[in-house]
Amino acid sequence: MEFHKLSAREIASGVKEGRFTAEEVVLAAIERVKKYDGKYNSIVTLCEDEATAAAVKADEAAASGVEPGPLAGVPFVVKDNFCTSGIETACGSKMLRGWRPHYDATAVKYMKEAGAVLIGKANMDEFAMGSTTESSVFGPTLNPRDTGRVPGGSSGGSAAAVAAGLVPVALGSDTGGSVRQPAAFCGVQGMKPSYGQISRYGIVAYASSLDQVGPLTRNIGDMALLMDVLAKEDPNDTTCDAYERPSFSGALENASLAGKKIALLSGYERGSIEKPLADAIDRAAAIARDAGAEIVEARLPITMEHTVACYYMIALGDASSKLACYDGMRYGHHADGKNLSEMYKKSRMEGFGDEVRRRILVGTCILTRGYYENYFVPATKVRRMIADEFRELFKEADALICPIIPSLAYKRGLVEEDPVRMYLGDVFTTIANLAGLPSMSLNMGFTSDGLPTNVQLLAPRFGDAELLSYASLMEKAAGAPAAVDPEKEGR
Amino acid sequence: MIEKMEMDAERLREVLTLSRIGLPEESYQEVLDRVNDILRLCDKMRELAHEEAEPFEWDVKKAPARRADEPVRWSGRDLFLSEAPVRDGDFFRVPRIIALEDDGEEE
Repeated sequence: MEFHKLSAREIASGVKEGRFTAEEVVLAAIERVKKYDGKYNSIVTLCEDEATAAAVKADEAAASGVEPGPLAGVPFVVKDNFCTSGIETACGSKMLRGWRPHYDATAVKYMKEAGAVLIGKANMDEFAMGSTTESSVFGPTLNPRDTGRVPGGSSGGSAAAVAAGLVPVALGSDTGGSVRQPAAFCGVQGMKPSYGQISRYGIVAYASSLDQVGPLTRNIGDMALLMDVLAKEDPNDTTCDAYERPSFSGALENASLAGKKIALLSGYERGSIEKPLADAIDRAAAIARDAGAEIVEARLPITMEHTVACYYMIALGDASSKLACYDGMRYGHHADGKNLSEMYKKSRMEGFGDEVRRRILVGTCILTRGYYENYFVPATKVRRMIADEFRELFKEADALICPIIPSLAYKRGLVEEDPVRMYLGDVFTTIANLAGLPSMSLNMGFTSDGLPTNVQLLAPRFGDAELLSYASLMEKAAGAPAAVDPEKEGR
Repeated sequence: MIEKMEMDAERLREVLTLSRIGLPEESYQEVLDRVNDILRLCDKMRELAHEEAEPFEWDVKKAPARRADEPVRWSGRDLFLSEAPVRDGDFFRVPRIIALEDDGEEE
């Protein structure tokens, strides 16, 4: 059976109904990783023994009458910054090579409790700082849709693994677009839930007020299923809200766009967006209109002008303090020095790559006296003004459609030469992190060259179920993306 | 009042000390060019009239659950020790570092 063509929902029901076993599914996924991932380098640690043992245990439990979970036998991977008990968690960095945590991140724990089987850790930009997955100590990941292009980042390994059909679902983390942008580049669906929706416990922090766990799937039905499993309160994360979540899968059953107001973002130059992506926006608007929605215009002048600067001030200031613990003594790569100061400096110089060092330097500068008052504090106020713009917008509209990123998937090596270009590409994704909004990268088909096109959908904070319902209707019209066939893929 | 966000070699030296990153002096110019490109992005934001706005904080829908404030006996000692780069009985063996008084920098 071609398990790699099945959705997570189909795998779980097949295992529950006894049509096949979790072990068969997991062994097939491991075999596929071994056979094809040499082309993509999306998975950096394959947990063959642990995964096989977990699958056998799940089958034994099912045989003894224990009710299988909603993700019974579903193989999945998580980004290498999720703590996984006894399994290396290196964050794509020399700094943490060989580090094996003693506990699972809450998101990993919830997936396992639902019956899913962890088969590996996915590649990422070092410490989640990047948008190409080229800066990992494990080497770059290639985009399965076109191996001459990057998969996006920083959750590029997770997106590539789903696009290549190695797993039906994966988890990533999104601080400024790190789930949605790679989902867009690799032609899969990716979601950043509302801040406070999913526990961040056990995720190696980049910037705590922006980080959020996000699922990557090939269809919105699986996305809703994962949200049902992952979005729960957690006493280990006080930023994880305790409100009673709706059924996200249930929201898809009653989905309707009739009478909804869908805003289209204006105020940016249409010419600055590559044509296939501008066309995707038009197509998404037409689908919503045909489904009975009213299309309105949204202007967000402060957001569009100041998001990137505001985001980088807050993210880098936070990163500089979060990464202070990697000093060669408390955590991470150790280099000998003739005194404590030299040991710290050598350890951090050797352990961190160029982009991480650059961001720590800028972040440290921002937090020093004078700069903190004149730059960091104003950024926290501008962030409030950005969130208020969205609050006003969502009084009038139910959702917003805008681009994810101005470009189709970048060619390899391009961004390394010009990091500021990489930062400016984040303008549309970082808005959701600053305002804490749920946001989705929705595939809108492919160009004649096979490159994915996409749009971003945003909804009010904690409107995740509504966002999923709108996305499911739009996916029905646009079609859910299929996995790449690595045998045929020859670009 | 700092009018412009720009880093020079002297400032870079201070920031390197604060961030505990050792960087060879021959790499300074390249790093300065790249860091200043990023800092220039930030200057425009300060032109926005933001003084009246309150700093951002998250709204909470329902206060998060909290763990009971009770001591818990933990039995992972051997697990942690099994990860020690060098183990010495029940302890991690760590590098011996003796700072000399004239080594100067803040310890």
